[in-house]
Amino acid sequence: MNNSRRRFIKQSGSAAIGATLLNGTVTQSSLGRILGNQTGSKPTLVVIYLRGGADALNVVIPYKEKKYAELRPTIALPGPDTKDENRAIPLDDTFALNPNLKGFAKLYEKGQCAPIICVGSPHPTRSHFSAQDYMERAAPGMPNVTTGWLNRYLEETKSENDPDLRSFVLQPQLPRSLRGTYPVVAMPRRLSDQTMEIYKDSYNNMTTKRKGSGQQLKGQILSTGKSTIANLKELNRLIGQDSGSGDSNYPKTPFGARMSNVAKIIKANKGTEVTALDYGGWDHHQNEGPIDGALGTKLADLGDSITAFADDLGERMERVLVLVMSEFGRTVRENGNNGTDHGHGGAMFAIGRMISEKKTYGTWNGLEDPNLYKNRDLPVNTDFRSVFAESIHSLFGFDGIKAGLFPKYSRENQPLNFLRKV
Amino acid sequence: MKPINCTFLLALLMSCFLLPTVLVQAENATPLTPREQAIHALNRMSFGPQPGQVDRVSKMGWEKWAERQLEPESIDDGELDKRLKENNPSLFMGSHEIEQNYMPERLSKEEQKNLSAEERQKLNKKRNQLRGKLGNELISSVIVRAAQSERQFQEVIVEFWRNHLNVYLPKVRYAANHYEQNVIRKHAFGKFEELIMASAKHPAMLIYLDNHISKSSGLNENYARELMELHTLGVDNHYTQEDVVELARVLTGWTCGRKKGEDGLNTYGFIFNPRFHDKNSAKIVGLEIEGDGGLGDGEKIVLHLARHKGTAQYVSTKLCRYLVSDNPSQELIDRVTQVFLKTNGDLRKVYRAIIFSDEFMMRENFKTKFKTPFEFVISWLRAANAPVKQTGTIARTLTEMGQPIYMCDVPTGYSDQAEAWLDPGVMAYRWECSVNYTQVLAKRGAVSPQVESWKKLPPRKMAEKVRNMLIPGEPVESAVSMLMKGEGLRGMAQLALGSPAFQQQ
Repeated sequence: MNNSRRRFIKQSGSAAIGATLLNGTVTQSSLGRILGNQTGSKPTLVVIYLRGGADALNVVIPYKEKKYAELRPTIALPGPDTKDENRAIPLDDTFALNPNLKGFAKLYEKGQCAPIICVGSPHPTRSHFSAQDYMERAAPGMPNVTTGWLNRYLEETKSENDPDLRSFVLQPQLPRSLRGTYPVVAMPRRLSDQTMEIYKDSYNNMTTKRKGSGQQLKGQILSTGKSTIANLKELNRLIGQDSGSGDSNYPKTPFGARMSNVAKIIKANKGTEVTALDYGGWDHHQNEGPIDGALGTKLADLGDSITAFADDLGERMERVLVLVMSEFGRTVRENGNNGTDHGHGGAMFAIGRMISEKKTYGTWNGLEDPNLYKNRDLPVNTDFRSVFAESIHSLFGFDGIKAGLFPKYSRENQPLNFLRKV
Repeated sequence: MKPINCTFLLALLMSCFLLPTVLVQAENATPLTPREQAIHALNRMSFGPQPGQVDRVSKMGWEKWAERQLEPESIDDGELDKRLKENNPSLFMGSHEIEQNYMPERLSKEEQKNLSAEERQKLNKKRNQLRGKLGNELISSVIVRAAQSERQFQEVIVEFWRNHLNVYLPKVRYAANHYEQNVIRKHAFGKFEELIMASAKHPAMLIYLDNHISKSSGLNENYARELMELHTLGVDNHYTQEDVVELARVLTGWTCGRKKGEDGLNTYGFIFNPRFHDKNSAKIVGLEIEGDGGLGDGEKIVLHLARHKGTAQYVSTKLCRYLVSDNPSQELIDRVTQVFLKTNGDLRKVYRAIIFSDEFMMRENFKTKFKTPFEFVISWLRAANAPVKQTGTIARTLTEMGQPIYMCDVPTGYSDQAEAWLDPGVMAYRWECSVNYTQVLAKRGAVSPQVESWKKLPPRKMAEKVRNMLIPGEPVESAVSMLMKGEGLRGMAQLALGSPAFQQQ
């Protein structure tokens, strides 16, 4: 048990995780995992985080609400019942999609895309940084919980023979949801095998014998380097392979390229369970441009990349779930600068072939003032932890709530039931 | 399977970590040797030792060296200034002069209309070229100063405030050079409240956080929130969402526009526009504002925030983390906070309180900070005494490592904590950088003649030299045996730069 793990248990205000660790609940549930098959084509969760607080109301549009256009005189999208060439694409009687999400609309028609509305954090913070921390650690209002929820899942269910690529990210820094004691591979980009050869010896053979805090940091750097060498070699090989199919459909953007690489690794069947991608720049305080401006172009890139990914994986999407989220939604009213400020309730998307029903999930209260949160934002009717819990339960058969994966959280209300068991 | 007995497990756990803890404490109790003290001071108060500097500082005693560094004006930096004025003149210009030199001549609306498509394209190209030049002057000045200024502690502190009061170059464009020089550098050794006020009234900050377009008729909360969350009180510390809205109202009218500057020239800069201003009363973090004191109302609340106890705590904590340890003791933070409050945020005294605290020189803090990419690159330029000419390459390397200069788009700035940078893939970048740079330097013959002469030494001697130059804090035996696996001088330098020791400071 290393130090940061101890720190987590010590600091997590609730004894939930600590207690489950000590009383054996997790020991038993991990045992099931250990006996199970650890490699091959496991179910995979792909978490995409839109940093900055994406404007949910211009992504999943409540087009029947009169207030929608009224409160957003310059940035409301034309409803599907208009003749406008940029009109929103209808999903049902209440909601429509931003026209840049054409691919999502097609997936929705096939019952493979679930928009979730009015979802978010029970904590009122409007700070990007706190909101992201709380969400990625699935511990709203608990600043002392410092491990990511996905890392805790990996840690709780780890086994002796976990595959090396059980969890990886194709970016230099780990998102907070994957920080913690379980080793996750972060691959910045390709590094030549030749360069790794230079450092292999010194990293594999060096040890820290002496004690002291400088030695502790050195030990961390050493183990980081060791696993980097092992994993990058493998990733180099997998990404270098031309998988042939599907590549050409991805947008020629950095995000499109990353999605294409993630697909290659999933298709290689290396036992990957969790991967995550950060996508920055969703904080549109001014000139939001939901059609062909700042927000619109980002949405097109996001939607086209994920749609290409789903096409590329084909049948495999039976066991691959893409979850798109952001730290909060934005103000219902536009601000003085054709943009929106930090809000509360937001939206998520789940994409995969295990979506249970073709519909929009979550509870909608309308846009009349008394139904808004503090008279300005969408309310949070679904706690993000309920979405997280259902996702890992459906994919991996792991009951995170029972296992104490979400500190101080017990199942309230009905789950959304947006997923079938995989 | 039966759950394992709880008490037994607990006892086992306890015994596992109590024993090493005792040993570590004993080890940490040994004071640092004068040589280690010099290394530590150079690691924390500069961007790493230059060749021979460890010996010099340890001979004169680290305190004496630190005293001078704490008074940057006492150190002659004339040669660097001269070079900067030649190569990066925009840093020393007023806003008016920057416009004159880095913007194409302004055309009247009529003239703009009459431009042909070709002329328009040409004009845009020229505009982009000039803007690129301006941005490059800023970025290269940051690299050159950090690597070569004799006033190293000043550069270390400037890097702190650059992140604390982060602005994003692509958004603030022409305002960033002036901001670096006249807000960050000018006030880094002055009063905290003056620093905050200067940032609050600078076009760079107003544009970056959208306050310049916030009006009573259409509020934008962005700056008001970050002023409390990031610049003064710290997140959710003593303020609420209501305070954010109220503060945003009081700060309406703080915007940018054309006015006569101090030099009497018509220039773009901070102005207070009463037509945008919300004249109503407000209450923010305990301070009541009657309303319509115009600009004065905003000034009152900015000072109130800068002088708040919560601000002193938050800023002191951040500084202790930066200079001492990722986890500084509460005792140290409390003492520094007291100095902050007593001196009304006299930053020079605050730095002094940290540097000359008992904690600063304790062994338990020796080599415990993980270098950020910026610190990694700059410290290696310094250690190799490399000529800093190709700043474009260095800037690109930092972009790849995730820390491009003046390009952090989120207002938190870059973190200096290990948890933000010590990621599983981090060494991949640093290895690649080490290999590339040593190759480039060797090819161009840009290594100092003294280092060049080491090529003739037998491997062991060569390894000792490389150890002394790049990883002087490492025990000789283990460092030398590690380095001797490298091929020749270049191979050894690659190994040293990519080793764990070089990432620590």
